[in-house]
Amino acid sequence: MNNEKNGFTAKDLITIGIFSVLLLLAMMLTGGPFSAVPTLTFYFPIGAAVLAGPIFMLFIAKVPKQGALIIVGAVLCILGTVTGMHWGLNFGFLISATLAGLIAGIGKFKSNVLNLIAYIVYCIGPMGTYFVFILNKESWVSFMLKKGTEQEYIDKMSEVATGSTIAIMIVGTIVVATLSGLLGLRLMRKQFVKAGIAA
Amino acid sequence: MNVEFKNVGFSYPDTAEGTLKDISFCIKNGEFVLLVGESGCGKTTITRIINGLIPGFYGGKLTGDVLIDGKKVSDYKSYELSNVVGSVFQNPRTQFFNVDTDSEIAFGLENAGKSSEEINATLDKVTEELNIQELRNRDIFKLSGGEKQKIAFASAYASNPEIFLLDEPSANLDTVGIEGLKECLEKIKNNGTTVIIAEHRLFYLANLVDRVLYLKDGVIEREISGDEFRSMSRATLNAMNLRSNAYISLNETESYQIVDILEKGLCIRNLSVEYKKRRVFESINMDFMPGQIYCIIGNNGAGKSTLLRSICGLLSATAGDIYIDGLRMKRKDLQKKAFMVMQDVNYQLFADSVINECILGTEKSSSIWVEKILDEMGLLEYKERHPNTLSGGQKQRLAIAVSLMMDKDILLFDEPTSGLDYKNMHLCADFLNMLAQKDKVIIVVTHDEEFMECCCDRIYKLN
Amino acid sequence: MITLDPRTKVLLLILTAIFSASIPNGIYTLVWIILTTILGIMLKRALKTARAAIIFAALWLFASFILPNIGGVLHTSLLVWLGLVFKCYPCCMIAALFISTTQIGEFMAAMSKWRVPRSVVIPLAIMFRYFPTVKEDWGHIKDAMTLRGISLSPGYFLKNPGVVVDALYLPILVTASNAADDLAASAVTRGIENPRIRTSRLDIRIRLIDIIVFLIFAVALIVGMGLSTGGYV
Repeated sequence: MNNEKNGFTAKDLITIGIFSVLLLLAMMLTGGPFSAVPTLTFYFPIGAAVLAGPIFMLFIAKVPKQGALIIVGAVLCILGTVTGMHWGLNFGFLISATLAGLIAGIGKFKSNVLNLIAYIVYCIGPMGTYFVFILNKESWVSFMLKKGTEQEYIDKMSEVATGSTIAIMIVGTIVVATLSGLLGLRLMRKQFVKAGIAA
Repeated sequence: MNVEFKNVGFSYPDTAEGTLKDISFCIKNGEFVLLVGESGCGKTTITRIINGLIPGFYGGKLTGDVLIDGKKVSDYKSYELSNVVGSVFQNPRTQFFNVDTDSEIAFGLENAGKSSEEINATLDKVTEELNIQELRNRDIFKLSGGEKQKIAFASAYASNPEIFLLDEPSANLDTVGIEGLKECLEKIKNNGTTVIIAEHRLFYLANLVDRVLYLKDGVIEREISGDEFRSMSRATLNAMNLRSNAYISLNETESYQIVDILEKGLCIRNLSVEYKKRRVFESINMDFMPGQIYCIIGNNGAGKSTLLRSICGLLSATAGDIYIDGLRMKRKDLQKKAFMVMQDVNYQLFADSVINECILGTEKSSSIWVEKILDEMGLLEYKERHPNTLSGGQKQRLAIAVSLMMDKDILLFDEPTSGLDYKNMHLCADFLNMLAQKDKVIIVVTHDEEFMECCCDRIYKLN
Repeated sequence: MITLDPRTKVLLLILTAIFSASIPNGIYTLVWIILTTILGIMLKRALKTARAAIIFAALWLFASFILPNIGGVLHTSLLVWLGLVFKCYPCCMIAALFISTTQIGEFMAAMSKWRVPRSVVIPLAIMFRYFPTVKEDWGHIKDAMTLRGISLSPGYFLKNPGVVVDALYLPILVTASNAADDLAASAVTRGIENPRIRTSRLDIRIRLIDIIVFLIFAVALIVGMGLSTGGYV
């Protein structure tokens, strides 16, 4: 039960598990509807960023340790893999969560600005799959879809995935993540710290 | 095993409650010791020190020595201590790790790396000794609070600890659940296990205790022997702000005659409700007049919570009607007129301060009016505090204040006294009486006979 | 009727993920679903697996016989949507089978045998446990909001955004924080921090049946990779 500096206590790990559930649900709740509609799928990262800001901020306040976000990323990556999600998405989670942890860690998880940037970086993760699409459409489509009729799909997707779509996706996600992150910081100040749950 | 406290002092990092000041005592092997006192007196702190959660888990500054069998608690690793000290906590909903009962009982043994043969043998032995065969291989989410608490008890029992620690284990249990808990405690007492229990409800423990430690403001104010405790009168106990040491039985209700629909108050006629495709109750008739306090009792699964939810308009009835002041109510009307103070009030507090909680979502609210209500509820001095930092009783009163702000006429309470000490239970009764005087319809679902005795005008029993 | 070691089930999940990634569609998905269905029945989850299989069959028949007759935008949209569904279906089906036939303690013990770090196993295990709790909590919170006259409708939100935000986050996060503390306290006092290899009350070991099941799925994967030509049929 000794609080080692770097290791995780059982309490940390349990908190990580519970907050992973909340982060995942928040993402699916507002992101899910986008991913189900093919022409809107590019806006999934925007939807996914809407709700999670306050959860993210409280989480890093509760487990302010390097590596906590890596575990969240790993858990999301594992769950994505076993449910057949695209590897770009899964590793996007892992990489962005790791980077987010490093960024927030620079300010010892206490700097508002760095925490906000960390959340924005965390929200970029789900874009991984679309970056793969842009780099290599054939491989992406052959991963996502059956062989044979893929040309029709590529055409459709290429039609949707114009430069402006990608720009909207990236800018939109950053804007939404910033707002959600700011809401998180506000709730931290206004609610969570006063409520005594942010430790 | 002996448990010895030598000049132990402790304070939590962020609150003055639960502080201990220079406490010394010794608990002998096989003794059954009850820790009593008002909320915040430090009894839970003592249990947390013995099972090592303080200071490792909760932080804070611990001074003095705590010895288990002559060895300092701080020299045990958490998992070594878990073989010696078994703990059962207050809330049955949040202390299980698994989703099935068998795994939950075996949890400690699995952590200790026992072989599967040994675990299964122990599992069989435990279920037989605690007489919980019917709870084997069940989904924990579908158990009642009492059943969950038995599983928590069995899980601690399985590791065969020499010291058993219980922190308000009865807080969320009904009479049947408490009876089951008592049987389990008798069992371990007869096995010669040392038992240390912090509790507000005392009646079920009176025949088991060897010694009572009465704490006040972090010091042991009085040590009472078991016999002396059993002979203490209710008046003496109440003067010490303790609950009764004997079961208070209430007169069963006389059967009630359904007359015409009341001109004032709430009437339920032939109400049937189905929930999750199961018929919970059928053709219920009840009358509730303003200015009186009604209690609804009944065993688990009798549909008490379902009834409350129907009265609030949260569930729709399969058949039957609900009338308020002689008018038939639709669900939406009920949602406007009725308010429920939930058993776990945390679900219904949203704002960042007590005063903002009162004005949240309301339009007309002069600050004089708000302060008057807060004053009535005894919360005015806390108006800038965050609701989550209030005590259980205060949170409840804040929820009542909200209902007054919203001008609700029908007030429902789901187990309002769970986890409350004597003083707060009494306060709760006083507040209900005050609400009754404002001509509110008051309906309380409760298992707490002591509480019913202080304020209940009429009891309905659901079967 | 059989039981499998959680480790075998993890391997099956991985095989299925590889399958989904490399053989996106065609008759092989159907074969895989049939294999999974048989496995589900063998694992005593006949009803739920059969239901999942029937839904799949219906979608598959639709894709094979009705979809080609539809034209235009609807065709592309349905095609894409079904493509994604077919891709995730085998994985989700086997994942559901995994969750419903594996106990948390059993999973932790099996992962402990593989020396998977606790820092990943405990959070995953807690997730199994906490999903149903969130559902319960959300029910209570929705009730509480109704009683306060707070609604999640866009109209109400636009009028009182602050109220909705507070009502949405505070109770969920307060209960989550309390649950984390309580759960951790009860786990610690029952020795979760014990560094020994965790065991299980269930006798978990790789048996002949584990090897057989694994080989069937592995062979199916290899054959499928060799023969796959694509297309729905």
